[in-house]
Amino acid sequence: MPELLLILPAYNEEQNIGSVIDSLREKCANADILVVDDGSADGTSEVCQKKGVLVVRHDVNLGLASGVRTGMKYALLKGYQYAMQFDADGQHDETKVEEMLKTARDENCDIVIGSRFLKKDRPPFLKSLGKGMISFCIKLTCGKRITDPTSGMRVYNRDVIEKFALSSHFSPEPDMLAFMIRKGAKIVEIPVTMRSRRSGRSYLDLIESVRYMFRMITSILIVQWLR
Amino acid sequence: MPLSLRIILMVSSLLSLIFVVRRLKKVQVQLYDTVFWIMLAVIFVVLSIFPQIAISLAGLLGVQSPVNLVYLIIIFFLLAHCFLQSLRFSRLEDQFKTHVGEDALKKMDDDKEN
Repeated sequence: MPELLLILPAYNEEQNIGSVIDSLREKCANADILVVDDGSADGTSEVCQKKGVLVVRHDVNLGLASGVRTGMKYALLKGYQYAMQFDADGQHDETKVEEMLKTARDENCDIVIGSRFLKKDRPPFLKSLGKGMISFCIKLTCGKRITDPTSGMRVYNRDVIEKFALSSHFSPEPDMLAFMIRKGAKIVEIPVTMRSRRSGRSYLDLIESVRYMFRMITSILIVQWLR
Repeated sequence: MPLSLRIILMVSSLLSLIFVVRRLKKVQVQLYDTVFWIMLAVIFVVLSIFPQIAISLAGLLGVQSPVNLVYLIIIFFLLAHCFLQSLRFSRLEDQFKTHVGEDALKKMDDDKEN
């Protein structure tokens, strides 16, 4: 049995997910792929079933965090050593999966993050402002610099899989990283490049982004201390 | 602002803060849901320690007494929270109904197969 489970949370990604699965199969043949269809209204599940990968489907759309949690529960149940969160929209670079897994294994990391900003690669202004603020808050409270706290490309080890699967206080968000760092987890970043979306639009619009920022910042600065 | 009100505000805010944090530690409440209550408690503690804030704000807004402003702030927060809860409740109800329906359909399919 492979040691790595690739978790692809997907919401209305029928356009992109087919090619993502194809290139993942090519670049990392010895990993299992699990698509978590988070209540898509389009043919996301059908596309994945045709490709022959594992598919689990939520009846209703519950959001990214729940999608990842379902994947983590599966990973825990089946006994995978590592689980990787990977975007279904084609933004992530499949060739980096092996390298990230190797880092997790060799350096005994709890979490390995694929970071866009270890090499100079500046995103649009508003996005970098938001990420910069979150980065700053984490540095302020934990003393460690995470260059890309919102990256959705992460490898988790067995310990973290268990925490994610069993507690609703863990979510694949920057505030969880801050909490984990303070609890002594080892987090390493690997430089990656990301493509822009192949089709469709990102679900994060402006109001949603502001809400997200507020949540993350209050959570990192205030709530995490009280947990 | 009368001293008795300040003491009541402070004590009740701190008590509710402790209550929320205990629930948080026991994972009986979602992380992000506690933000509202924590912030509210902090605001009232600050107001009870520095009543000048309420006094000068009341003067600025033309509210007759600072106490009324404090009530106004409480009412505002409660209404805002009530509204947001109502939106959220609608969404949950909708999700729940969808889920129960889909689940029932799946069970029907399973029964046929067996």
